[in-house]
Amino acid sequence: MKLARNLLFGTAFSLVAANSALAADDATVKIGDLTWTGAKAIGHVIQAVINGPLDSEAVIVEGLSDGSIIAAGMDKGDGSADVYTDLWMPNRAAIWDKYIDGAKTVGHNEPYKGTQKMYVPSFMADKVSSVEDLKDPEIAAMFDKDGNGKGEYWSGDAGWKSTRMWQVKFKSYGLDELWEPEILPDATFKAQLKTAMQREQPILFYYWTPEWVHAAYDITPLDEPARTEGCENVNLDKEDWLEASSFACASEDASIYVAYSKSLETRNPPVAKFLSQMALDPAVVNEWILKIGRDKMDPRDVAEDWVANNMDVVNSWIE
Amino acid sequence: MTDETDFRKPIIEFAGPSGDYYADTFLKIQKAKLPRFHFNRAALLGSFVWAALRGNWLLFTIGFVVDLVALINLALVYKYTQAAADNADKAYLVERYEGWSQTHLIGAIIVFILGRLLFAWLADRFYAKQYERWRISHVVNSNFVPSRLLIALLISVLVLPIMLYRSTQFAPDERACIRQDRAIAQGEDVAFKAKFDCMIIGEFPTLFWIQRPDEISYPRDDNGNRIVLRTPPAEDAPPVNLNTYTAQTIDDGIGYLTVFYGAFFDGITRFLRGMLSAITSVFVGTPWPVTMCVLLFVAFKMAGTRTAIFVGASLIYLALFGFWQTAMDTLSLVVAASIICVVVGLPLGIWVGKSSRGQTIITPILDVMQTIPSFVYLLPAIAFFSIGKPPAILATVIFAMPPMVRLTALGLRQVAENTREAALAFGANPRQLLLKVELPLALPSIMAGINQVVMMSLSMVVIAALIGAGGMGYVVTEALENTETGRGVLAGVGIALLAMMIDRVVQKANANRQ
Repeated sequence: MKLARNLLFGTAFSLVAANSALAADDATVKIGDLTWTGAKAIGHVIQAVINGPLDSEAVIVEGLSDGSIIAAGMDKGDGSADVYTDLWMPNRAAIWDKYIDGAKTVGHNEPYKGTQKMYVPSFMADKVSSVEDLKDPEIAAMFDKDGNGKGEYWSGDAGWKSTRMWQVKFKSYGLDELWEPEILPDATFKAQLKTAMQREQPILFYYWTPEWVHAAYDITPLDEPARTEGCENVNLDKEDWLEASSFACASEDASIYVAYSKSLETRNPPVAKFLSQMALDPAVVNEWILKIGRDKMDPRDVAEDWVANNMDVVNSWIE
Repeated sequence: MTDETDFRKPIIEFAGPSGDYYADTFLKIQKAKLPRFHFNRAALLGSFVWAALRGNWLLFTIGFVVDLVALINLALVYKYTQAAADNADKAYLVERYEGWSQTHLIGAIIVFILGRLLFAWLADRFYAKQYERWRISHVVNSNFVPSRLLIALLISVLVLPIMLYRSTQFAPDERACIRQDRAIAQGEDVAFKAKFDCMIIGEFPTLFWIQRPDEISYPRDDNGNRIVLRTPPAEDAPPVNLNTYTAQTIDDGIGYLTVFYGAFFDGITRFLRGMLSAITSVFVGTPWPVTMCVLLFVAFKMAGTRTAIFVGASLIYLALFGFWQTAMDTLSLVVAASIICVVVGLPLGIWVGKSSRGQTIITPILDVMQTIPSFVYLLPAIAFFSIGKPPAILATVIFAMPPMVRLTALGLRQVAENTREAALAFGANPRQLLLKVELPLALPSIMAGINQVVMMSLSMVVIAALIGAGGMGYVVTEALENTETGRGVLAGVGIALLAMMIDRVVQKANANRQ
């Protein structure tokens, strides 16, 4: 009876406390929790700047990892989601068109550049060095794990636009007879990559910079045809995206933005100003990523140390 | 009247001071005439002190906890009021802390009033029970003994200061304490309060730090053979805790096995793929009109017209919404996993059912298999069996096999002893006993086990999709990743229909056979 009563009261209090916390946190900045290391690193640095030099409050909402949901939250501006830490363009053009250009409810900063390519382990590089080589059925057979006659490649996770982009590219390169995509979460793929590198098995996969796998493993990007006028014509949001799109050349370097809800301009103006002025250097982002992903340091430590040692850069963002 | 006095005398002797009051009350309790809202006033005021003096330690605990909870809430009021004053320049923090402080003030008052009332209401009722126990044995505490207050005081001194201290302080987070440990290791001075806070009121302290383990890699030597290369950690790398150290060791073990015994696991993978592709070619390879007719016919033969109609409707749902191939893909995965479950689970179940040693060994393993979160073994499964359907089958088997073993064992144990004796009396040898008597009698239970295996295999298909098993599970995950709720629901219903179809057919067939 005693226990039941304590439980009852405990729940009642925590409910009340949680409610009052929600009501009071209007100025609190909610940062999305995207899954790849770069997005995590940037999120923690933003949090460290807001909690430290800006003397306000930011939380990373654990499990808020779906880009579309973060974008919808930023659009609503009710403080449920405020920051999209790593918005890849043109991969996420749908979000850009809808909220940044369309509804104008989402703002962004100056982007930094990233690359997206197909990779193989370097011990495979003498056999496979360009997408031309992938047209060889013998090469494809080496990568065929399930014996169905098609080699497998990792094209990203379900829900990433790059996943569809690579399927379009493989079709446009005329490779879809020999290759099939494996669509898996990043964590699952990284487990597979680790084993493949250890066991020296063939593996073909999409990856991007900045990321830590380039420092942790010896991998080589495949050459792709140079970009020409009209080589990229994609519409990944159509029902028949695979048929409607074509893409037969190297991907343009991606522009990677920090996007934020414009509601912050009224709810927490210094933070909105900081997010619009934040300018990231790919080398610096890479340094964070290495420390977090390869050296397994606590991302909060990495972010706080960096902010403490680079106040001049941070000051240029927040002034 | 003399009777009444006879009843009263022992109560007065038991209670000591205020004996008359307790005599009245206990007699009313014995006659079940105590008013519904009867409160003991002394208990209301004295709470746990009263209970200690009367020697009722159950009531003491109740009263003590009530007052402690109220007191802690008051301490929290103090803590948050202070915090609000300390952060006076930040409006949102002031608002938050004042809100919390109010909540806890209300909480303290409510707990105190309701708790004390409850205590006073319970007091005489529990005290009367103590009296009944005392009547049976005089070892039970009785009377009003001030020296018992010493024990009450001792408990309060042990519990109260640290509880109150904890609730007036903001506990340090784990990270701050790790930093502090490192600072101490480097010879820095840390205030006693900070050390104490980390030891007592935060996360359980890290008692020892371990040197970071060597990095292990597997390069090739000059002859092209794989060797184990240990690289010591960097000089300045901070030490790690037990968790990180053990986790690293497990990773190294998995890495070592995959590099040096990879061929063994490849063999298992190839076997699973072969078995699966044989089953898949039946389900997916057969054109849909043939498969549909065969399935309908089987359902009709085994389970009758009504079930056949349900199966027909489900199949039409899957076909109309474009799930036919994916559903057959999923079905072949489930069938493959179920076959392994039955082939392995049945002998195990017989062993568990017949031998008590088998039971002691297997039962805890089954418990772990059923409760361990499947994500825990999904990633190692990738290391050993790569991506795709083979690791998915194994993960499914781990999750779905326990009911097969359990229900087989249960069925065997339920065979009546005299049936067994009769068989033995007719000269049955152990093999005949098992095959001709026990297993046939256990069949309903075994069938229920198979049914469970199929159901649980189907519930794993979404998780299996995360390691590339494809099928209906992939449709669900992809729809959810793209926030297409509608498509996710349609595929989810498809999985449910597959499960219900198999369940109905197996159950009906089982019932008809009996």
